[in-house]
Amino acid sequence: MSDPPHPPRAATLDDVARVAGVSGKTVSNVLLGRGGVSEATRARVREAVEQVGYQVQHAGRSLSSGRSRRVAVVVPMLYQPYFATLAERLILALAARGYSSTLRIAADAAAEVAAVSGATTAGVDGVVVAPLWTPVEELGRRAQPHLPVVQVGGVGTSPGDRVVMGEHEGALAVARHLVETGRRRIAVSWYSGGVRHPADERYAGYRRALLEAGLPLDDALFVAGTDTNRRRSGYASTVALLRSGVELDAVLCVNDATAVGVLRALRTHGRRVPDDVAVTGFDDTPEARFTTPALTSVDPRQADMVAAAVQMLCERMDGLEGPGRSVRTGADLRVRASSAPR
Amino acid sequence: MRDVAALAGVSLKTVSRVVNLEPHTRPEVVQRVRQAIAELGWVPNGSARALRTGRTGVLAVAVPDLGRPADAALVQAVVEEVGRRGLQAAVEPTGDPEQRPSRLRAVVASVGAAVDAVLVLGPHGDALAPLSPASPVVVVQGGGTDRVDPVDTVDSDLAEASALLAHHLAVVGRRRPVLVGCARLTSRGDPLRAALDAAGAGAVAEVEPRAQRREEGFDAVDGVLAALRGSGPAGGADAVLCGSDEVALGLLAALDARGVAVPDALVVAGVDGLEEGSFSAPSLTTVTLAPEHLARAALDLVADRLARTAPAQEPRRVLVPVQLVRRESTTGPVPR
Repeated sequence: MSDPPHPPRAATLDDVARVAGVSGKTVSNVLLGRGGVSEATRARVREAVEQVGYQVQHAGRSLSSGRSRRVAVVVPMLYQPYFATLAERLILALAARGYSSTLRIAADAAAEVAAVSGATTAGVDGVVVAPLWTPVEELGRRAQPHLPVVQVGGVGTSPGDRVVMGEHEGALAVARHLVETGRRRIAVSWYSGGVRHPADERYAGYRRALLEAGLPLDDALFVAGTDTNRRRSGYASTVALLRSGVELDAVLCVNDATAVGVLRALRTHGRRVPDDVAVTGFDDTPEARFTTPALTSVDPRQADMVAAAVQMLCERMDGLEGPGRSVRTGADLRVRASSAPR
Repeated sequence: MRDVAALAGVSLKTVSRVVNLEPHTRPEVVQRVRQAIAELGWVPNGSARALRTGRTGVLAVAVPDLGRPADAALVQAVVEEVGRRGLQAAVEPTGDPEQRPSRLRAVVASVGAAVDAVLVLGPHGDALAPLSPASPVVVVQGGGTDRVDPVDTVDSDLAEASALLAHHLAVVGRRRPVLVGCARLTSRGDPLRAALDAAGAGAVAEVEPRAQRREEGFDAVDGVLAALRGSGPAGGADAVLCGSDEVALGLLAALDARGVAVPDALVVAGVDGLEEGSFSAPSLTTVTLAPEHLARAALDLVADRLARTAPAQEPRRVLVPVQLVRRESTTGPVPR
């Protein structure tokens, strides 16, 4: 392949279209990697691009609209199944609306803020973020003014668009289930270093169920670990709980991965599940059905969350103005063997 | 390039490293160089194709199923490695096996336009057949075929994995394994059978589930129990080797439900090194596949292709070492 002669002026999309004998729209479809163009046409457009020395102005930026039709999908990690399936569902739902995605793993609060402020997401039309490290109100505040951002899940209230997971009703349902099946000493294995955030709806759901049943909230039954390694954190906090000698007949876990660690800790310390201790999770990840015993969990209707998030983001990217909106999705209790009545 | 180096306050060599996607440049330096390039509108020399290369800064990562933990772990490692090199990753889920070839072709067709290069994770059928070795397309863990790949590949050393598993079975006194979903270990010259032979062992039965997920592992239990309880050449099984940890974890759940003691009646081992395996009942012996190492090797190959410093006529093949992790499913409970 030899260098093409440099044209006297910068080649335009129209030059490419003329040489290839196709419309400008087709050229842009090929350059943006969109479907619906035959292999032969693609080849012709590529050749024309080479021949006229056309330079794509910016990463896949559509020349007519000034928009990239690319969305940044931001998750804290992929090694937790909840976020892996969330990311996949978002990418596929965006693709169905004609948007390509760039996936960002935001391993800390700074990376989350950098993504919504545009610092690490230059050239995208919008951002969908599943916040973990930053409260949603702060993330909403730090979002770049003209960059559409939708938050999925997270704790707190936001000035921007967000999807609120059915955390309260889910935790309420699972805690009520434990109370109704005769559990009275219900420990919680939580995250975030033991901070019971006032806006943590999941914790509020647990609290409400205990108050309804006239059960005391016992600080000795509250344990928490980090959120970076949930299985290990569930294991370690349960070992600490058992060593403290506190009496317990259930552990309500903040998510499934934590519950997997809790199950392991109970087993290695000679506690039978569910005979001695019931265990529940949250998220209903694929893992939950194949633990020993199978794990009772809460299905947060992730598909509904994704559909709502993508709908709101597309509306903003199409120019919708106005105050932030909040869409609340539901949650369904999935009872399995880990919380069977004794 | 001199102007770029001056504006970014770095050496010429650093600019060239950033442009050629070489590792070992701090992210903030990469960002500074890219900013300087953008500000000056500087274009590196080379053919028209190379001119565009490096302009999008986007690598497509085609992945079959992010819902599978092994895939997710590999994508996580790749996205982090891509970020370390100052680039963006566009993750493209390619869906079920029927859709995968056409989606892969579409992703590969975007090279030179929307993306600079493509990493294809997992099997690809013949979707990449028309490509030349010089394409900036690298396959990671494509395994499972006997065909020669047209482009650069990075694979875990599954022959070594086979040898480690076969030897470990012999060490724990088992010689009659059932193979469940082990196609990845029995293709490409069938290293598993050779390794079992060498260890004085032999497979008594094979179960090939439709997919490598927990569900299929759970459903494989009937076939495994038939081999455990049967007599003759297809019976008397004393071990199960699974082609993935997910299948092994599903099988462990099913064996527990049927009251079969692991490892007493049957030892069970998987391949992947998923974290879940250290929490299962019992914890799972496995072979870890080092996703970070795979990601680094793949990005090195891509960088060479983009810089045109690799031989254009032949695809390269990198094998990444693996490691055996012994846990309760073969060795029994370890005292606390």
